[in-house]
Amino acid sequence: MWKDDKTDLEIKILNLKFNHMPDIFIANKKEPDELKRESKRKLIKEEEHSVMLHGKEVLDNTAKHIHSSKLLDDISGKKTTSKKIEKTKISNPPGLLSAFRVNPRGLHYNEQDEDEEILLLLRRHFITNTPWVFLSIILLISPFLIAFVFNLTDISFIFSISSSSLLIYISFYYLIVFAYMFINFITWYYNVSLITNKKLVDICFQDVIYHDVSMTKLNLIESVNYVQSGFFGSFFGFGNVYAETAGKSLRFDFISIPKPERVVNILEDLIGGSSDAE
Amino acid sequence: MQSEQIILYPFQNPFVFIKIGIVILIFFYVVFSFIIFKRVKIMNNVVEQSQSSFILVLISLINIIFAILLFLTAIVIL
Repeated sequence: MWKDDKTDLEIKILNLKFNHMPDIFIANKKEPDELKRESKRKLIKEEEHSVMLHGKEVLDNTAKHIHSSKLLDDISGKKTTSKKIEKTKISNPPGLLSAFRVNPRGLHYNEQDEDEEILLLLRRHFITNTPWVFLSIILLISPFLIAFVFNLTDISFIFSISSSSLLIYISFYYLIVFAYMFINFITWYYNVSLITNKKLVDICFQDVIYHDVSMTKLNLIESVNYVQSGFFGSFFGFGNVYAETAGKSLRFDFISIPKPERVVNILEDLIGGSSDAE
Repeated sequence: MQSEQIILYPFQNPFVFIKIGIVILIFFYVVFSFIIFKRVKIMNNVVEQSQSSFILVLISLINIIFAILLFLTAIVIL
Protein backbone atom coordinates (compact mmCIF):
# COMPACT_ATOMS: atom_id res chain seq x y z
CA MET A 1 0.00 0.00 0.00
CA TRP A 2 2.75 2.40 1.02
CA LYS A 3 4.85 1.55 -1.98
CA ASP A 4 1.99 2.28 -4.30
CA ASP A 5 1.80 5.94 -3.21
CA LYS A 6 5.53 6.65 -3.65
CA THR A 7 7.75 6.67 -6.70
CA ASP A 8 10.88 4.52 -6.85
CA LEU A 9 13.13 7.56 -6.43
CA GLU A 10 11.25 8.68 -3.33
CA ILE A 11 11.53 5.22 -1.90
CA LYS A 12 15.33 5.25 -2.49
CA ILE A 13 15.64 8.63 -0.78
CA LEU A 14 13.62 7.41 2.13
CA ASN A 15 15.76 4.30 2.35
CA LEU A 16 18.90 6.42 2.39
CA LYS A 17 17.45 8.57 5.17
CA PHE A 18 16.45 5.48 7.06
CA ASN A 19 20.01 4.13 6.80
CA HIS A 20 21.31 7.30 8.43
CA MET A 21 18.76 7.13 11.20
CA PRO A 22 20.65 4.80 13.52
CA ASP A 23 23.60 7.21 13.63
CA ILE A 24 21.28 9.94 14.78
CA PHE A 25 19.77 7.71 17.43
CA ILE A 26 23.18 6.60 18.70
CA ALA A 27 24.24 10.22 19.01
CA ASN A 28 21.13 10.98 21.02
CA LYS A 29 21.76 8.01 23.24
CA LYS A 30 25.33 9.10 24.02
CA GLU A 31 24.43 12.59 25.09
CA PRO A 32 22.67 11.79 28.37
CA ASP A 33 25.55 9.53 29.44
CA GLU A 34 28.04 12.29 28.84
CA LEU A 35 25.86 14.70 30.74
CA LYS A 36 25.66 12.26 33.63
CA ARG A 37 29.43 11.85 33.67
CA GLU A 38 29.92 15.60 33.65
CA SER A 39 27.47 16.04 36.50
CA LYS A 40 29.22 13.31 38.47
CA ARG A 41 32.60 14.99 37.90
CA LYS A 42 31.16 18.28 39.10
CA LEU A 43 29.71 16.61 42.18
CA ILE A 44 33.06 14.98 42.96
CA LYS A 45 34.86 18.30 42.62
CA GLU A 46 32.30 20.04 44.82
CA GLU A 47 32.55 17.33 47.46
CA GLU A 48 36.36 17.44 47.43
CA HIS A 49 36.18 21.18 47.85
CA SER A 50 33.80 20.82 50.79
CA VAL A 51 36.10 18.22 52.38
CA MET A 52 38.98 20.70 52.18
CA LEU A 53 36.83 23.46 53.64
CA HIS A 54 35.81 21.36 56.61
CA GLY A 55 39.40 20.75 57.63
CA LYS A 56 39.65 17.13 56.64
CA GLU A 57 43.08 17.48 55.14
CA VAL A 58 44.03 14.28 56.86
CA LEU A 59 42.07 12.33 54.32
CA ASP A 60 44.23 11.43 51.37
CA ASN A 61 43.15 11.55 47.76
CA THR A 62 41.88 7.99 47.81
CA ALA A 63 39.70 8.67 50.79
CA LYS A 64 38.35 11.77 49.09
CA HIS A 65 37.48 9.76 46.05
CA ILE A 66 35.72 7.16 48.18
CA HIS A 67 33.82 9.80 50.11
CA SER A 68 32.81 11.57 46.92
CA SER A 69 31.73 8.34 45.29
CA LYS A 70 29.62 7.53 48.35
CA LEU A 71 27.89 10.88 47.98
CA LEU A 72 27.26 10.20 44.32
CA ASP A 73 25.69 6.88 45.19
CA ASP A 74 23.50 8.50 47.79
CA ILE A 75 22.33 11.16 45.37
CA SER A 76 21.79 8.99 42.35
CA GLY A 77 20.53 6.01 44.31
CA LYS A 78 22.75 3.78 42.24
CA LYS A 79 25.25 1.29 43.55
CA THR A 80 27.44 1.20 40.48
CA THR A 81 30.48 2.64 42.25
CA SER A 82 30.08 0.73 45.51
CA LYS A 83 32.11 -2.18 44.16
CA LYS A 84 34.88 0.21 43.17
CA ILE A 85 34.81 1.69 46.67
CA GLU A 86 35.12 -1.73 48.28
CA LYS A 87 38.02 -2.53 45.97
CA THR A 88 39.74 0.74 46.87
CA LYS A 89 39.20 0.08 50.57
CA ILE A 90 40.75 -3.35 50.33
CA SER A 91 43.60 -2.17 48.16
CA ASN A 92 44.67 0.43 50.73
CA PRO A 93 45.42 -1.61 53.83
CA PRO A 94 48.31 -0.67 56.10
CA GLY A 95 51.38 -2.53 54.93
CA LEU A 96 53.43 -4.87 57.04
CA LEU A 97 56.15 -2.23 57.41
CA SER A 98 53.96 0.88 57.56
CA ALA A 99 54.87 3.25 60.34
CA PHE A 100 52.71 6.17 59.27
CA ARG A 101 49.48 5.63 57.37
CA VAL A 102 46.78 8.23 56.90
CA ASN A 103 43.22 6.89 56.79
CA PRO A 104 44.20 3.21 56.80
CA ARG A 105 41.69 0.76 55.40
CA GLY A 106 41.06 -2.71 56.70
CA LEU A 107 42.22 -1.74 60.16
CA HIS A 108 40.10 -2.22 63.28
CA TYR A 109 40.77 -2.25 66.98
CA ASN A 110 38.95 -4.11 69.71
CA GLU A 111 36.69 -1.41 71.14
CA GLN A 112 36.03 0.56 67.99
CA ASP A 113 32.58 2.11 67.65
CA GLU A 114 30.53 1.53 64.54
CA ASP A 115 30.68 5.16 63.47
CA GLU A 116 34.30 5.56 64.47
CA GLU A 117 36.84 6.01 61.71
CA ILE A 118 40.58 5.51 62.10
CA LEU A 119 42.34 8.54 60.67
CA LEU A 120 45.95 7.77 61.45
CA LEU A 121 48.03 4.69 62.19
CA LEU A 122 51.36 5.25 63.89
CA ARG A 123 54.27 3.04 64.85
CA ARG A 124 57.87 3.70 65.69
CA HIS A 125 59.94 4.60 62.65
CA PHE A 126 61.27 1.42 61.05
CA ILE A 127 64.84 2.70 61.33
CA THR A 128 64.53 2.28 65.12
CA ASN A 129 64.65 -1.48 64.47
CA THR A 130 68.22 -1.21 63.21
CA PRO A 131 69.93 -2.61 66.37
CA TRP A 132 68.07 -5.92 66.41
CA VAL A 133 68.13 -6.21 62.61
CA PHE A 134 71.90 -5.72 62.66
CA LEU A 135 72.34 -8.24 65.47
CA SER A 136 70.12 -10.73 63.65
CA ILE A 137 72.24 -10.46 60.52
CA ILE A 138 75.37 -11.14 62.56
CA LEU A 139 73.70 -14.13 64.24
CA LEU A 140 72.55 -15.46 60.88
CA ILE A 141 75.97 -15.34 59.26
CA SER A 142 78.06 -16.25 62.30
CA PRO A 143 77.84 -20.09 61.78
CA PHE A 144 79.21 -19.60 58.28
CA LEU A 145 81.95 -17.35 59.62
CA ILE A 146 82.84 -19.88 62.31
CA ALA A 147 82.95 -22.69 59.77
CA PHE A 148 85.11 -20.52 57.50
CA VAL A 149 87.55 -19.76 60.34
CA PHE A 150 87.80 -23.44 61.26
CA ASN A 151 88.53 -24.30 57.67
CA LEU A 152 91.24 -21.64 57.42
CA THR A 153 92.95 -22.54 60.68
CA ASP A 154 92.46 -26.23 60.17
CA ILE A 155 91.25 -26.71 63.73
CA SER A 156 88.96 -29.67 64.17
CA PHE A 157 86.37 -29.92 66.91
CA ILE A 158 87.64 -31.29 70.20
CA PHE A 159 84.66 -33.59 70.36
CA SER A 160 83.62 -35.48 67.32
CA ILE A 161 80.06 -34.52 66.37
CA SER A 162 78.12 -36.55 63.87
CA SER A 163 76.70 -34.71 60.89
CA SER A 164 73.09 -35.54 61.85
CA SER A 165 73.60 -34.16 65.35
CA LEU A 166 75.24 -31.07 63.91
CA LEU A 167 72.22 -30.57 61.69
CA ILE A 168 69.94 -30.65 64.74
CA TYR A 169 72.13 -28.15 66.62
CA ILE A 170 72.32 -25.77 63.70
CA SER A 171 68.56 -26.02 63.06
CA PHE A 172 67.85 -25.29 66.69
CA TYR A 173 70.24 -22.36 66.62
CA TYR A 174 68.49 -20.90 63.59
CA LEU A 175 65.07 -21.43 65.17
CA ILE A 176 66.21 -19.43 68.20
CA VAL A 177 67.54 -16.68 65.93
CA PHE A 178 64.26 -16.70 64.04
CA ALA A 179 62.30 -16.46 67.31
CA TYR A 180 64.47 -13.52 68.36
CA MET A 181 63.75 -11.75 65.06
CA PHE A 182 60.05 -12.57 65.08
CA ILE A 183 59.51 -11.42 68.67
CA ASN A 184 61.31 -8.15 67.97
CA PHE A 185 59.26 -7.65 64.85
CA ILE A 186 55.88 -8.30 66.47
CA THR A 187 56.88 -6.10 69.40
CA TRP A 188 57.39 -3.29 66.90
CA TYR A 189 54.36 -4.25 64.82
CA TYR A 190 51.81 -4.41 67.65
CA ASN A 191 53.04 -1.25 69.37
CA VAL A 192 50.47 0.82 67.58
CA SER A 193 49.05 4.26 68.18
CA LEU A 194 45.77 5.15 66.53
CA ILE A 195 44.10 8.49 66.06
CA THR A 196 40.42 8.17 65.28
CA ASN A 197 37.74 10.82 64.80
CA LYS A 198 36.73 10.17 68.43
CA LYS A 199 39.63 8.80 70.40
CA LEU A 200 43.33 8.52 70.85
CA VAL A 201 44.37 4.88 71.26
CA ASP A 202 47.75 3.63 72.40
CA ILE A 203 48.40 -0.11 72.22
CA CYS A 204 51.54 -1.18 74.01
CA PHE A 205 52.91 -4.67 73.46
CA GLN A 206 55.99 -5.80 75.36
CA ASP A 207 57.94 -8.99 75.92
CA VAL A 208 55.34 -11.26 74.31
CA ILE A 209 53.47 -11.78 77.59
CA TYR A 210 52.34 -8.23 78.32
CA HIS A 211 50.11 -5.78 76.50
CA ASP A 212 48.35 -2.63 77.55
CA VAL A 213 45.65 -0.69 75.74
CA SER A 214 44.95 2.88 76.79
CA MET A 215 42.61 5.33 75.14
CA THR A 216 41.14 8.73 75.67
CA LYS A 217 38.51 10.85 74.01
CA LEU A 218 39.79 13.63 71.81
CA ASN A 219 37.85 16.30 73.71
CA LEU A 220 39.80 15.40 76.86
CA ILE A 221 43.14 16.26 75.30
CA GLU A 222 44.42 19.56 76.57
CA SER A 223 47.73 20.03 74.85
CA VAL A 224 49.86 18.38 72.20
CA ASN A 225 53.55 18.89 71.65
CA TYR A 226 56.41 17.14 69.90
CA VAL A 227 60.14 16.76 70.31
CA GLN A 228 62.44 16.00 67.41
CA SER A 229 66.05 15.68 68.45
CA GLY A 230 69.29 13.88 67.70
CA PHE A 231 71.06 13.10 64.48
CA PHE A 232 68.92 10.11 63.49
CA GLY A 233 65.70 11.85 64.47
CA SER A 234 66.52 14.85 62.32
CA PHE A 235 67.95 12.83 59.45
CA PHE A 236 65.15 10.28 59.20
CA GLY A 237 62.39 12.65 60.32
CA PHE A 238 61.04 10.99 63.43
CA GLY A 239 60.35 12.25 66.92
CA ASN A 240 58.19 11.97 70.00
CA VAL A 241 54.66 13.35 70.30
CA TYR A 242 53.14 13.97 73.71
CA ALA A 243 49.44 14.47 74.26
CA GLU A 244 48.33 15.51 77.73
CA THR A 245 44.80 14.89 78.86
CA ALA A 246 42.57 16.71 81.32
CA GLY A 247 41.70 15.40 84.78
CA LYS A 248 43.98 12.59 85.68
CA SER A 249 47.52 13.38 84.71
CA LEU A 250 47.57 10.83 81.91
CA ARG A 251 49.98 11.49 79.09
CA PHE A 252 50.06 9.71 75.78
CA ASP A 253 53.56 9.27 74.44
CA PHE A 254 54.10 8.40 70.83
CA ILE A 255 57.77 7.56 70.76
CA SER A 256 59.96 7.80 67.64
CA ILE A 257 57.08 8.18 65.22
CA PRO A 258 57.61 9.50 61.69
CA LYS A 259 56.49 13.03 60.76
CA PRO A 260 55.74 14.22 64.32
CA GLU A 261 54.91 17.76 63.17
CA ARG A 262 52.23 16.43 60.85
CA VAL A 263 50.78 14.27 63.61
CA VAL A 264 50.60 17.30 65.88
CA ASN A 265 48.90 19.30 63.13
CA ILE A 266 46.32 16.57 62.63
CA LEU A 267 45.68 16.34 66.36
CA GLU A 268 45.40 20.13 66.52
CA ASP A 269 42.78 20.08 63.79
CA LEU A 270 40.85 17.40 65.61
CA ILE A 271 40.94 18.98 69.06
CA GLY A 272 41.02 22.57 67.84
CA GLY A 273 43.96 23.64 70.02
CA SER A 274 47.50 24.85 69.60
CA SER A 275 50.76 22.98 69.84
CA ASP A 276 54.18 23.59 71.33
CA ALA A 277 57.19 22.44 69.38
CA GLU A 278 60.51 22.04 71.10
CA MET B 1 78.25 -56.78 86.95
CA GLN B 2 78.44 -56.94 83.22
CA SER B 3 74.81 -55.95 82.76
CA GLU B 4 75.27 -52.91 85.07
CA GLN B 5 78.26 -51.78 83.00
CA ILE B 6 76.23 -51.99 79.84
CA ILE B 7 73.45 -49.90 81.39
CA LEU B 8 75.85 -47.31 82.76
CA TYR B 9 77.89 -47.03 79.57
CA PRO B 10 75.77 -44.42 77.77
CA PHE B 11 75.98 -42.05 80.75
CA GLN B 12 79.77 -42.23 80.73
CA ASN B 13 79.73 -40.29 77.52
CA PRO B 14 79.50 -36.56 78.38
CA PHE B 15 77.72 -35.87 75.12
CA VAL B 16 74.67 -37.76 76.31
CA PHE B 17 73.89 -35.09 78.86
CA ILE B 18 74.32 -32.37 76.26
CA LYS B 19 71.97 -34.23 73.94
CA ILE B 20 69.35 -34.64 76.66
CA GLY B 21 69.74 -30.98 77.49
CA ILE B 22 69.25 -30.01 73.83
CA VAL B 23 66.09 -32.14 73.56
CA ILE B 24 64.68 -30.49 76.70
CA LEU B 25 65.53 -27.04 75.31
CA ILE B 26 63.82 -27.86 72.02
CA PHE B 27 60.77 -29.00 73.99
CA PHE B 28 60.73 -25.65 75.79
CA TYR B 29 61.04 -23.95 72.42
CA VAL B 30 57.96 -25.85 71.19
CA VAL B 31 56.01 -24.60 74.21
CA PHE B 32 57.35 -21.09 73.62
CA SER B 33 56.33 -21.18 69.96
CA PHE B 34 52.78 -22.05 71.06
CA ILE B 35 52.84 -19.03 73.38
CA ILE B 36 53.98 -16.81 70.51
CA PHE B 37 51.20 -18.15 68.30
CA LYS B 38 48.61 -17.53 71.01
CA ARG B 39 49.91 -14.00 71.60
CA VAL B 40 49.82 -13.16 67.91
CA LYS B 41 46.20 -14.30 67.76
CA ILE B 42 45.31 -12.24 70.86
CA MET B 43 47.02 -9.16 69.45
CA ASN B 44 45.20 -9.64 66.16
CA ASN B 45 41.95 -9.48 68.09
CA VAL B 46 43.10 -6.28 69.79
CA VAL B 47 44.16 -4.66 66.53
CA GLU B 48 43.15 -6.36 63.33
CA GLN B 49 45.09 -5.40 60.23
CA SER B 50 43.61 -7.48 57.41
CA GLN B 51 46.30 -9.21 55.31
CA SER B 52 49.29 -8.34 57.49
CA SER B 53 47.80 -10.05 60.54
CA PHE B 54 47.14 -13.19 58.55
CA ILE B 55 50.79 -13.29 57.43
CA LEU B 56 52.00 -13.08 61.03
CA VAL B 57 49.65 -15.85 62.15
CA LEU B 58 50.90 -17.97 59.27
CA ILE B 59 54.55 -17.34 60.18
CA SER B 60 53.94 -18.25 63.83
CA LEU B 61 52.13 -21.41 62.73
CA ILE B 62 55.04 -22.40 60.49
CA ASN B 63 57.34 -21.77 63.46
CA ILE B 64 55.33 -24.24 65.56
CA ILE B 65 55.46 -26.85 62.81
CA PHE B 66 59.24 -26.50 62.44
CA ALA B 67 59.71 -26.65 66.21
CA ILE B 68 57.66 -29.85 66.53
CA LEU B 69 59.46 -31.43 63.58
CA LEU B 70 62.82 -30.53 65.09
CA PHE B 71 61.79 -31.94 68.46
CA LEU B 72 60.72 -35.24 66.94
CA THR B 73 63.86 -35.42 64.78
CA ALA B 74 66.04 -34.64 67.81
CA ILE B 75 64.45 -37.47 69.80
CA VAL B 76 65.13 -39.89 66.96
CA ILE B 77 68.65 -38.76 66.00
CA LEU B 78 70.24 -37.60 69.26
